[in-house]
Amino acid sequence: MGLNNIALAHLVRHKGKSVLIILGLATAVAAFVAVMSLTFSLRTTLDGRLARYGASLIVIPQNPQLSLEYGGVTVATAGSAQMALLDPSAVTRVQNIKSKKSLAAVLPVVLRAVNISGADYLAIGTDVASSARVKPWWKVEGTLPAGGDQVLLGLKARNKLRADTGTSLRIGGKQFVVSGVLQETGGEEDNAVIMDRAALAEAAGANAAPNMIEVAVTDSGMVEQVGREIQEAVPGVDVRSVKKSLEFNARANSSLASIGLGATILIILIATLIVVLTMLTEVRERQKEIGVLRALGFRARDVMGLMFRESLLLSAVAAAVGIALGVLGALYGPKIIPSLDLNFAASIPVIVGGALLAIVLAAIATVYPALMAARLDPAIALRKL
Amino acid sequence: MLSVAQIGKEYGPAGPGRVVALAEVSLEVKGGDFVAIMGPSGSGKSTLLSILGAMNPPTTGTVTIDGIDVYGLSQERQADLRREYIGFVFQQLELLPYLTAIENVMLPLAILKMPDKRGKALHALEQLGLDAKKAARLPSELSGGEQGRVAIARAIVNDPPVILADEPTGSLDTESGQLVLELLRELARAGHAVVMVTHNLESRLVANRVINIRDGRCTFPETISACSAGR
Repeated sequence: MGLNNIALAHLVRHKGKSVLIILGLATAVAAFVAVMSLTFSLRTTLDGRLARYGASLIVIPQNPQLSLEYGGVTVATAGSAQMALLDPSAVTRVQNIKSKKSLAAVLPVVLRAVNISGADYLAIGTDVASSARVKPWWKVEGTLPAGGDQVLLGLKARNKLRADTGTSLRIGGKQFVVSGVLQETGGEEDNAVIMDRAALAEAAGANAAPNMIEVAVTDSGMVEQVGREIQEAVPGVDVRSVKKSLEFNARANSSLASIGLGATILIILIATLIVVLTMLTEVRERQKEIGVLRALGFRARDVMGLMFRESLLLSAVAAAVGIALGVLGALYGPKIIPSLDLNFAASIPVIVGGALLAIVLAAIATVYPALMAARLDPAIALRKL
Repeated sequence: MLSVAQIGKEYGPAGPGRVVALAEVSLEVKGGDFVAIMGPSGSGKSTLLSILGAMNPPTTGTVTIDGIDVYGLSQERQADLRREYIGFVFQQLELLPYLTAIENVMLPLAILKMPDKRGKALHALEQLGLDAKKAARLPSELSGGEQGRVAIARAIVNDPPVILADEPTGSLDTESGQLVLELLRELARAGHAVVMVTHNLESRLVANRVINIRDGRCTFPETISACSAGR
């Protein structure tokens, strides 16, 4: 028999107090696991939505001129003298920012007005395949342009040109074949002719310097940070977030998560207080027992060791109970609010964190009572016999 | 074995409020001695026992066990000394209610790394007439006499040379009390130095030396040397 057996026997014998301490710790662990799991789920869900929204940021040159647009009517046309271009090195500088791991795609885009069959159209020159990857809502009838001599038409452009897949179009003195037509997106692409960036530059008789860079970010929490870093890396540009509403949602969810975290910290503090008070009461009630143990040759550190073993055993049970409750809470809690539309994902770090929390809380809550027990004068304790 | 020289114990602030619990007590106890310390409540006998038990440093004087100055040791070493040299039998026996009889007996061995603690504890219990079946029971499932035997088995399980007993019959019925006294006398015969605090006049009959204490002083015989030797 050693200290472990004594600790276990004591806990089994004093089930009421053991259950109280386990409940206190388990509540803290459950709150932690549930809130952290929900926060992770919120983030995962947001990131999924972010991916569906395509580019997170656009980088455009700062235009020293005032706007040439009024009442939806633009006086200047893209590619004209009024349309500023980005420095070609801007793309490399964006690709090499500090948080480059958070970049899903960096797409330089050339915008030009091109004349096709006597009418002007918006031409978008980009890496079409990469652009299609970050814009999963693009549904193409036909195929994406496979080379510099193919184009993709937006639905409204196709309707105006009456050009289906396989039709030849003359753009700026060069012949192109329509490889596919975009289904209606409801966006600006519906009016556009989309093609390879270099091919557009060549057809329009201009250099391939981009008018803008589309930047897709993998992590919704990194959008602002990436924006700041691009601003620092490429001076003289405007960095605009294209998903203000998503960012607003992200901020709202982040606030919600902060409130949840605050509530969790409060619950943890209260749980710690309950455990400390219970352990202190325990020490007071066990003065006789501690006196006996000291008289039988237990050193102060043995008494402390006994107390810590008891709290470690309790914290192990509390961790299991708390993690189970927390996961259940995170799994079924959001179903109470259907509008939350969350995909719960169990996170190993959160579960490990919950287990560590139980152990650390129990250890912290035991320090003072254990010190009191260890400092108990055996003679005074025995006088209470 | 156990030597007490001119010890005194005072409590409280200096001045008229100072309480003298013990004054100028000297005592020599050898292996085989069975010493009964008698006196009314509050006379200082329990204070003396706690000082002998390395748990309560005296204000003056020294206590040595086997030549070791008990209160010259650190508190941790005092705990080691209690475990190696002293066995305690408490007034209410103080068996831990959540441990079985054999686990209670194993308590002084709990923090030691040694083989067959259980076998040693069972041997101590069997010496006192308790079998393995009784050893597996909780204290609440044992009679008063059996609990007394468990308490004594716990005191002798690591074979300490000194046994200190604080009113060991106080919580027992007459028959169980007699049994405990008889067992303590047998321990003294076996070579242990046994010191027992009691206010039970009948207890003195089993001791081979009696020390009377009143107001912290030996009252009979009157001299310190006689206090050490007196019957």
